[in-house]
Amino acid sequence: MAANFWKSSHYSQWVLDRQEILAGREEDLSYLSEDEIFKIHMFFANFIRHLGDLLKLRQQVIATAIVYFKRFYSRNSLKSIAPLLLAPTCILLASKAEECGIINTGRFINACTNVVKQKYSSYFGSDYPYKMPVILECEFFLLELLDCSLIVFHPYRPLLQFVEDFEKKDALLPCAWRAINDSYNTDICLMYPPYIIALACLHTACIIQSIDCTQWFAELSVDLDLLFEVTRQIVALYELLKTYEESAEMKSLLDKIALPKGGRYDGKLMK
Amino acid sequence: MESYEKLVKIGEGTYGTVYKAVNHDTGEIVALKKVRIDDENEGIPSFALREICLLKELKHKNIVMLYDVIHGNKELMIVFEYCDQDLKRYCDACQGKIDPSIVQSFTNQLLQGLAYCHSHHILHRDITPQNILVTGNGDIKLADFGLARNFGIPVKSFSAEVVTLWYRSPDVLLGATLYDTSIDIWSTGCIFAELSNGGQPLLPGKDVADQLKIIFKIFGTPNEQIWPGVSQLMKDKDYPSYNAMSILHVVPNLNQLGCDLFQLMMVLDPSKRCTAEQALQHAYFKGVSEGYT
Repeated sequence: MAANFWKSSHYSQWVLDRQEILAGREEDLSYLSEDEIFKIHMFFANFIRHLGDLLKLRQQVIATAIVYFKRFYSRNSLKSIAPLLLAPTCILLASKAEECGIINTGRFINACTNVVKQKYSSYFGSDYPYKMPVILECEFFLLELLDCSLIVFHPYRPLLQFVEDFEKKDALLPCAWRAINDSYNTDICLMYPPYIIALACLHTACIIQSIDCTQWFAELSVDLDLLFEVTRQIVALYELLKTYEESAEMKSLLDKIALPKGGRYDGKLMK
Repeated sequence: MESYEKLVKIGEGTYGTVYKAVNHDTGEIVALKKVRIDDENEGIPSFALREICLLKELKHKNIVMLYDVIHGNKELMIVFEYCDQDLKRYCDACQGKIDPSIVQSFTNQLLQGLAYCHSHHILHRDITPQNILVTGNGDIKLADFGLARNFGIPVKSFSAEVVTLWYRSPDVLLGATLYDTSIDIWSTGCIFAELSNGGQPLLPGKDVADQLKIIFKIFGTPNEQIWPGVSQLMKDKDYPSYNAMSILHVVPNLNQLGCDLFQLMMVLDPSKRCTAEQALQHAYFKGVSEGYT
C-alpha cells in the first residue's frame, strides 16, 4: 500500500487541520488545557509503545496504533472511552491491519497486565482492569469511528529515501528515525503528510548534528514554511521534554478524565 | 442493521456467508457478507479486517465496492455492491461456448483490476472464477480480498483448504515463500484459457503433485536453463521430464495474438512472466469492448 498516499483514505480523510482537531476536542477543552491534553496523549502513546515492545511488535505497528488512538480522540472526548481501554485496543487492531500474525488472547491480556504492573502501577494499581470481551467490543467502535481507514502511511519509508542523498547518512539516520518516533508524541501525525514529517525529522537531525543542509532543502520543491513549522514543533517537543516531570502531573490529569464507573464507553459515542 | 433485508443466500465466501439484500432506505440491492465473531477468540477475524481495510483503499471499476460495515450481535456485516453472479456460474450457464469478444473483454477487465491492485502494492493471491464477479452489464469485478496482502512479506504457502489448487502458480506449488505480482498473473492466465475453452478449467489437479504434473505436461518440465534456481525448488522430488505441448492444443480457440499473450502470462519462471500492465498493452486487446456493448 506504499505507493499511493495521494489516493489513500489517509490523505482524503485523515489529514486534519488544527481547527478540526480543536473542534473535536471541544468537550475535553472545557476541563483540560491544550497543554494537558497533549500530556495525556503523550502518556498513552508511551503506554502503547511499552505494550507493543512487550508483544515484540514492529515499530510500524506501534506507530499505526498510536495514530488510531489519536484519530479516535480527535473526534471523541477522552471520557467517551477510557484511554486505558482504547490504547490496547489500538494495538490489537493495528496488529491485524499490519498483518503481523494473530496475537493470542491470553498473551495479549497478560501483556496488558505486565505493562501496568511494571511501568504504571503507581497510576493504575497492579492489575489491568479490562477483560477481553470489553476490548473486543471496543475494537468494533474503533473500526467504525476510523471509518475503516486502517491503512496508515508513516514517515519511515520516505526518510530512508531522503537520507540516501546525505554523505553523513550513518549519523543522520538514527537521529532522524528517533525524531520520527518522538513525533508520535504530538499531533503531527494527524496534521501533515508523512513525507513532510520525514523531511522535518531529517531537518531536525541536521540541526542536532550541526550538519549544513540549507542547500539540500532549498532545492526541494516543497512548502518550506510548512516544513519548518513541523520542525519547530519537534524542536519544541524536545525543549519541553528537557524539564517535564510526568510523574508529578499525570496523576491529577488522569483523575480529571476518570469515568464515573468502570470506564466503559458511556453511550454518548457515535450518535 | 434494520435497514437491510436479506433476500436470498448467494454463496459462501472464503469466510462467511453472502446474501443478496435490499437497503430499505434507498431501495438499492447490495451483497451482505456475514462474518461470525467468536468473542472468546480474536474478535474481528483478521482476514475480514484485511478485506475491509484494503477495499477501503481500492476504488476501481473492476474491483467490488465496499459500502459499509455493520456490527450486529456476535456478527459483522460487510456491505458490498451487488453483482449478479460469479464467473464460475457465468461459465456454467454458457454451456461450453463463450464468444471470443467476451473472452477478450473479461480478460481485459480482469487485468485492469489487477493492474490497479498491483499499483497499490497489493497482491490478490486468490484469483479464481468464484472470486470474480460479473454484473448484468458484463462488467467484471474482483472480489474476496480476504487473502490479499502487501507484497514483499514472506508468507507460508497457501493451505490447500483455502485456495483452489487449479489457479496456483508453479513457483508457489514448488514451495517458494516470497511471492510477487506474478502469482496473480498465472491465475489470470488460467482463467483466460478457461474462458476461451468455454469454461473448461485448464489445470484441474487433484493434489499438489498432480497439479505440478499437469502443468509440466503442458508447459514442459522446467530446468536451470529456462528457470534459473528451479533445481533448488525441485530438489526434494523427482519429476518426469516433459516437453512443452503445442499451444494450439491448449487454447485452440484463441487467435494468434491471444495465444501469444497467453504464453507471456504462463511463463514458468515467475520473474519472466509479464506484468498486468504489460499484458494490457498487448496487441490482442486492440479494439476491446467494455462489457457487453
